[in-house]
Amino acid sequence: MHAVYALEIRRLCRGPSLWVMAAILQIVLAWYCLSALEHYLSMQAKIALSDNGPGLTTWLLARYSYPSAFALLLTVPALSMQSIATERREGSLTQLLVAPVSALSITLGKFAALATVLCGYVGLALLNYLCLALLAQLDLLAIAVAHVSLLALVLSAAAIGMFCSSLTTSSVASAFSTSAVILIMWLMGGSQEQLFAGLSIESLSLPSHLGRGLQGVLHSADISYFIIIIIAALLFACRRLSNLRLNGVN
Amino acid sequence: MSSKATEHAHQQPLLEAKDLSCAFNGELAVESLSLTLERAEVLGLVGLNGAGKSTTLRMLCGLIAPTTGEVRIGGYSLADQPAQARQQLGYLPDPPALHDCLSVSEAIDICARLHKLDKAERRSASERVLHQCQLESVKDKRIKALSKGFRQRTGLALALVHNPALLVLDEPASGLDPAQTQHLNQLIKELAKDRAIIFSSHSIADVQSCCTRVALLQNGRLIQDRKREPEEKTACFTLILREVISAKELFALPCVSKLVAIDRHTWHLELIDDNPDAIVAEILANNWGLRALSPQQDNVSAVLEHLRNGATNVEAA
Repeated sequence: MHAVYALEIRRLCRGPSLWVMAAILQIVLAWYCLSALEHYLSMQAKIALSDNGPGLTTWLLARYSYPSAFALLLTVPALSMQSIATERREGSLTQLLVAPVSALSITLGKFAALATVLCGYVGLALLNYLCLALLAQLDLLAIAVAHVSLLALVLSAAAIGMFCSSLTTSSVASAFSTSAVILIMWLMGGSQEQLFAGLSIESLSLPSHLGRGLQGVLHSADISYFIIIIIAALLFACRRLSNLRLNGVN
Repeated sequence: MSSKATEHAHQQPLLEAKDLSCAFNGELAVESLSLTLERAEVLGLVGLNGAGKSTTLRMLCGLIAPTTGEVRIGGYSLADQPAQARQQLGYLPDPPALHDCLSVSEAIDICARLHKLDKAERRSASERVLHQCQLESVKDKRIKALSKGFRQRTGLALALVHNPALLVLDEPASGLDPAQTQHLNQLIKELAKDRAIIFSSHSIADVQSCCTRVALLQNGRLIQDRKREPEEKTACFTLILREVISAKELFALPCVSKLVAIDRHTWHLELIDDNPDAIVAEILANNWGLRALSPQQDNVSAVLEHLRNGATNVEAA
């Protein structure tokens, strides 16, 4: 797994896309953060008059975290499409498949590299809060919880992306299918339909498990939801890699 | 490779393929192919495009599961003990599987890590393959910037880095200039001293220069698998007769050791010695109408030439 990780992290870091996306992401996140801060400052007089007005942390988490989550999710298909689809197209996956490395090790190594990059991206979102913390008093614990939720969200999306990437040799098809699955899971939040007794479609959606975390509340059910998505998607990707070994890479 | 695995590999044939078949969409690409390869053997797999050479090699490497049959590498079943079997296998696909973003030395190091070599082993293995494949001058260059010949040699270095007992090379001379091809053939001969090598090629010259055995594939079937002696005197002839003679009659002649039917009048013969006088006398005695009897450089090249010329039903007697 370490060798696969070493290979994958080099592949990701040596391409321009990772750095271009990081730069664009930081500009977008900083703009969102400054907009939320400016809005807070313009409303400060009104908030001060109310008995139960939100503090700066609550205000920022409510107005900055959701757009940040969406911006972070947009980077996932572009990163995850490279993990298997691009390697299959270029023929370099053969080197891994012929080596004495299990499909699970390949999957975990590739996912760990993807997770490292996404940790960096979530760190960029956190960086804006930390800069602000130098000038104002913020609830750092709530901010940390919100970013753990953000990380869980992007890691689930990355696992889904890896599975989609294992289904095709086309990077574009992989990126589109990942975006479609994430979008469907996001939009399911608007449905009130019941699947079974006590289980609504909404409860399977990404936003329903993200909301509490972004407000700074860590809920074990939400974390379990994201962990289940990650494990299921990685197992599917692993199974797909095993099939590629049996039936030929291309 | 660990000492236990090496010991195990020494006790078993390095490659055992039993009754391999592979079908794509119900169409057989390889049919009932059996091969055994021992240490110090170099097997050249020849055949026309679409004969099933690459599919055969991919099955031997575990990149395609055979529809029927089994592959054992160093005694380990590729299906049941894939990790042990793959540890003894080095594979050079066509085109080579390379990560363009890495430098040559990084690619070698990562490939060694994939084969579970420790740090000291990795360093010595890297130096060894860089020297063997003449890659010292480009070791710090990105693979993306390499010429086709250097890419091919980098692929070979990756296949060799863990010192595998079995080396499977798919068109290794592809993209190499004549000097590089000559060096590769020399390298294959050196490497074969303590391992088994199987490679596919379109070039009869490459096969002749470094193979101890030649296997000929046609339409997924192994139609010939024969040993080549280093100083072998080929006694192969193309015979054209006016009369239609059965293979049985011709093979009954005492001077004929092997027989390949090209068409109803044309045969490729391998004689017991390289003197054709005996068979000329027999043909004249039987009044079969001798039209031509010309020496062939090699039986395999002759059959391959006929396959290229469109013969579809070549049977080895």
